[in-house]
Amino acid sequence: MSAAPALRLHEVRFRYEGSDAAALEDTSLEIEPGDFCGVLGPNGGGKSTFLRLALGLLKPDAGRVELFGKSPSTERRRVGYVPQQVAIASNAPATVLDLVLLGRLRKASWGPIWSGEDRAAAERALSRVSVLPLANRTWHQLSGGQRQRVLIARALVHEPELLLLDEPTTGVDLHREHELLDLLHELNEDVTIVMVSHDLPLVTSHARTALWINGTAQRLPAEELTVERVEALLHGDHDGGSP
Amino acid sequence: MRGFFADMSVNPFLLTGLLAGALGGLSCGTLGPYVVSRRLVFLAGALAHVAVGGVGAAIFLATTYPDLFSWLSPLHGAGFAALAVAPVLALLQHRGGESIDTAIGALWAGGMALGILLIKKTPGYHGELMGYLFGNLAYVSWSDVYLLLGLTIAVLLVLVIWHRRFLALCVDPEQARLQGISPLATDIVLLFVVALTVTALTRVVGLILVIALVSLPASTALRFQSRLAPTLLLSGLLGVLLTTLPRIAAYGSDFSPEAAIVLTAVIAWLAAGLIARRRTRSLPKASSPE
Repeated sequence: MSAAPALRLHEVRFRYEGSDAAALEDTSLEIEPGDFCGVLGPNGGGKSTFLRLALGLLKPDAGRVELFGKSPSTERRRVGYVPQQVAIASNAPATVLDLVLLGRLRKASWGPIWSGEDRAAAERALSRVSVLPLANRTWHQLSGGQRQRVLIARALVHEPELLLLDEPTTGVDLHREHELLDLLHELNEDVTIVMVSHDLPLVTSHARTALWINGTAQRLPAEELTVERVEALLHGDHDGGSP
Repeated sequence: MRGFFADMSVNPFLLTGLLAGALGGLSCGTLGPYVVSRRLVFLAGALAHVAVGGVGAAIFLATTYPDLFSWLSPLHGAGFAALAVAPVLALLQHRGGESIDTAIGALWAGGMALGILLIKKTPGYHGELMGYLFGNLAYVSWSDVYLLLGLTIAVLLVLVIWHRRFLALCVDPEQARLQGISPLATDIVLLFVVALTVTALTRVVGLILVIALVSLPASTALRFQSRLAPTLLLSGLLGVLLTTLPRIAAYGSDFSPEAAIVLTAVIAWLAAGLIARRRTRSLPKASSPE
């Protein structure tokens, strides 16, 4: 069995309706299975567009997006998505357990009752990220770090092969941030991870590989994965300069 | 209050009015938590006011073309109009854009204006429109009660079947979409249920006041409960109590029972807010038991 890349973009172009410039242009990249890829780039550079294309929430105007060598619409159930915390309605009448269970919801799920299998999977996911004791709390009773873990549990609840995270350290205090990264490392043993972040030191010190997304994608080779190099990119120094 | 039950044996409308109130209260109480959490209260209000147009159209058609439309009751008109406009509102909501508030407001006021216009065009006297605008618990027929019973069963059935999908949309619509649940289709179903509930409440508090009963019992319950299942039970119970007790208490006085129902719902909601605030002040906030 040939291992297709977990995620592949081939000459992708995407422009938002009503916008003059393309958000992403001529973007090609591959994420290999087992990778822990940090995605860096300036605000408005297309990081979120990249994630939404990968999930199949947006369709490219040109080019191809593939998950595991196939279309995102059929393969995205193999992907766990960890959105930013604001994605969860603060007034949602749901407990942590409900929230994680909802990660098991399928097209064919009718009626109000979760199966025992679903419940077991939700409890497993919660204990895997060490928040099982919070199962009966509600969202607004959680701290930033706890919320992030719950969102990761929701993404893990259907045992994905690829985990896409959007700014997972936002709203998480510094020492929880390291715990969170340790957790991601542990998960990386059997899940491919793509993590969008604006936090340079975090990406440079934890990711195996890195992508720079600013209108298009470019790989940052491991030896260039330094804070200085990334800061040079941020400030528009595209020639590189000495790292 | 004693008078109410004593008079029940001589005035059968007291029983039908009470049953109509309880059924309407049960539907709106159980539906409300989804509508409030999904932030669709404004759409529910628009739906109810468009239904006024349906009432006007039904009265106009039934009077002007009795051969064709004698079967068409104002309640049918309200129901058809609300069901027809539900997908339109859902589409507007999902397409978003800057003018969405205006578009919903236009439907809200336009539907109502159309209803008033059609009533004026209908030959003869039609004071009964008031009964649909502000409710009329004094003259609920048994056929109304059966219709309400059917509507309530339909509402509860859909809520049970769609429960997890509605909850998914309340929590995180984008995640639901990723899992193959269409937020638009699900919202359309939810608004169909709102349309049925609005129709059921037409007799109880009237189309203008419906918005209060869809949102207030639910918001009151949500102040005390954060899990959906107990919220639904509490809100359903509140719906039934709020649509029956004020009616009984206002009996024999010159209080309009429909207005008494809505005002009691408002007071209950305000009181719940005060109590909940006191409780949260005395409880510690988020803790970190890691």
